[in-house]
This record gives sequence, structure tokens and C-alpha cells, in this order.
Amino acid sequence: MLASIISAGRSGSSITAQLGVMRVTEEVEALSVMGISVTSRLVLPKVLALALALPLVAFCTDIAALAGGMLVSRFTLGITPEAFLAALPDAVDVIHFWIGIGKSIVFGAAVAFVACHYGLRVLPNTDSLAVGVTRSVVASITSVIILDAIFAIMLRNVPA
Amino acid sequence: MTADGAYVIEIEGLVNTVGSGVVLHRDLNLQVRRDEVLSLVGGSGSGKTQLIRVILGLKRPKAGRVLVFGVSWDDPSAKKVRDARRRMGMLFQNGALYSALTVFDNIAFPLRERGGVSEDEIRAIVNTKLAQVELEPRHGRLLPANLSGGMVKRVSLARALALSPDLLILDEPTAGLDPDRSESFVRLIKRLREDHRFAVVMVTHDLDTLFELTDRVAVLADQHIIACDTLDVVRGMDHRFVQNFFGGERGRRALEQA
Repeated sequence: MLASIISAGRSGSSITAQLGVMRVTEEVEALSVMGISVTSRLVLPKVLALALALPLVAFCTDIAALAGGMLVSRFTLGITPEAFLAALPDAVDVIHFWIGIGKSIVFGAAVAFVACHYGLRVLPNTDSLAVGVTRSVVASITSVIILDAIFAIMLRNVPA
Repeated sequence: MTADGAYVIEIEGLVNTVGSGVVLHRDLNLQVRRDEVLSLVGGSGSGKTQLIRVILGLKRPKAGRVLVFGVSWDDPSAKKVRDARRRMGMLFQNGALYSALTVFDNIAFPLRERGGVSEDEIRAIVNTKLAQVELEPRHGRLLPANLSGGMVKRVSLARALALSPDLLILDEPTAGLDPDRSESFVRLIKRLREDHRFAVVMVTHDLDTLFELTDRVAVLADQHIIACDTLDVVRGMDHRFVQNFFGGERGRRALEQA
């Protein structure tokens, strides 16, 4: 979820700004005039890209979290890295890793959808662009939190 | 009359609104012939750009019938709509070039999207289009940010011509150009049209461009087309906008030079 919120701030705002500028410069209209679907040419690639990239970011944050935990355990509790890794499968079931990856796919798609939605609603003026980016980031983060809550309810019976 | 018979654009009884239902066009009728240059003129706020957006299918009208090549943008056949779109090209006022793509890729874009053309053929077509708009192949490597205003217009025109359209829509083609570049751009459009015989719908305030290119003028005022005829006929109309537009000092000067 942390990776998704960072992604909403970083990639979501970038997607909204990019599409918003394309609206301001009439590049989106130029696509429509050529008979090219804006959804398949602009929205779908971004949704797929973020749905694929966010699990990789989630994997990296998982590794960083475990490495951090290992270091703190070593210096505060005196647990060696070998002992930490040996005890890890009993402490955290591997299903939680896959749940995290699965959630990040959904979060990635949601962030990209929300960002594209606000980007394509930008009016041809700079004020609208600024408002669109702000709303996009707020809505993306909110959607991630709501989706996480829904996942928490759906997965409440999964053992810790 | 179908579009393939005589008209490329047919608009009947168009009602168009903006914002919270403010009526911009009411009972607007317009027909554009397949082999003519029709200029659309009107005062600021008369809705010229909105009318162009309706013709392009970027805006849905409140009521009325809009056919381009005999096809309504609401036609259930996606193929008919797509084919009609590919028969027209649009030159946006500010170019609307894809800023992330080079000049070459901008012109190649509609060809690649249409498909069925090899990269070698695309290269040949793009170089031909560059030559048609008096640019060289080396310009193909530039990004839009590195182009002058005149070059942006030329590249945008080359992209609009990439699929060899039967209808070209020009939104203020000479806006933002200095008089020399404006004149040379008008000559370029005139030459291209003589070579390829596509229909042109042009929104312009530039009287020199109007006198140089136009076959018929459509005057948009009082929420509809008040006249659509040759320049000589329209100039003789007893309407305040027409008299101000053509009878002012700029109008008389342009007429003397024509």
C-alpha cells in the first residue's frame, strides 16, 4: 500500500499532467480526429504499465522491509541474519507475499485509471491543469486506501 | 444528395449549446461541395470553432443532422465512421503536433495507426509529404519544440495530408505567422490543392488568405449561417457584420491586392 501511495503521488500526477498538457495542446483532439481510440492508445497502455510495474515496486519494498527488519534484529536483539531467515517462514506465511503482489496489481491499475480520468478531463487552460493534477493525486490515494480496506474485509480469514 | 455525389459535409437544422445550455447555433444549415474551398467567417464568439468541433465529431450537437462523407458520427458502424475520419485531415491552429515524437514520427503516426504499410513505404511517404510542404528529410529528425511557428504549421499540414485526405479542415491556418511566412503558407496550400483537388473548410480572420484561396464564404452570425455564396455576392449583403468585415480598411486593402 505504501508503494501504491508513493506511486499515486509520483506516477499518477505525471500521467495526469501528461494527458492534461496533451488536452491543452489539442494532441488528444488530434488523435480523435484521426479516428484513433484515445482509450486504447493513451489509457490502456498506462493502466497496463502501472499494473505491471507496481508489483515490481512492491517486491522491492518487500525486500527493503525484510532487509531493514533483519538489520534492526541484528543490532537491537542480537538475532543473526541466518536465524532471522530461518524463522521467517514460520512468522509470515508466503501467501501474504502473493496477496501483496496481487493487491499492487489492482492498486496500480486503479491509480492509472484515476490519473487518466482526471488528465482527460483537463480543460484547455493552465488553472484546470493544476486543479486536475491535485484532484488526481488526492483521488488516487483515496482509491488505494478504499481498495485496501475492501481487500482487508475480503481477506480477513487469511491466517497471519 | 449523398456526400459521394456532391457534398463532403451536410449540416441540417443544427442546434448546438455550450456551458449550461446557452444556445450557440440554432437551425444552422451548411453544405460543403467536394471540390471547393469554403471559408467560415464570423465575429468573435459566434461559434466558428465550436462548429468545426461538431463537424470533426469532437462535440455532439443538441439536435440536427451532421454528415461527413455521408456518414453521421453516431453511425452504429464503427468501420464507416473510421473510414470517414481517415478521409479528412485537420490543421489545428497551434499545430497539435505530438511533442514527444520527432517530425518524422508525427507524420508517420496516422500511417502506422492505419496499418498495412511497411516501414520502407512509410519512410518514402513521409519524405514525399515533407517535400510537398517544402521541408527536407533532415527536418524529420527534429522535435516539435525545435521548430519555428511556420515549420510547425508545415509539419502539421504534412501530417494532415499523410493519408491523402479528400477533405482538409484548416483552423486559422496563418494565425501567428509573419506576413511573409503567411503568404508563402497560403501559396503552399493553394499549390497542394491544385495538385490534389481536396475540399477545404477554413476558419480565418485573415482577409488576404480569404481572397487568395476561397471559392465560397459562409458567414456565421445571429446563431446560424446567414449567407453562403461567392465572395462577390456575400460582400454585397446588407448585414452589419458583413459590412464591417469586408467594408473596413483591411477589407478594402485586401480586395485591392486580390
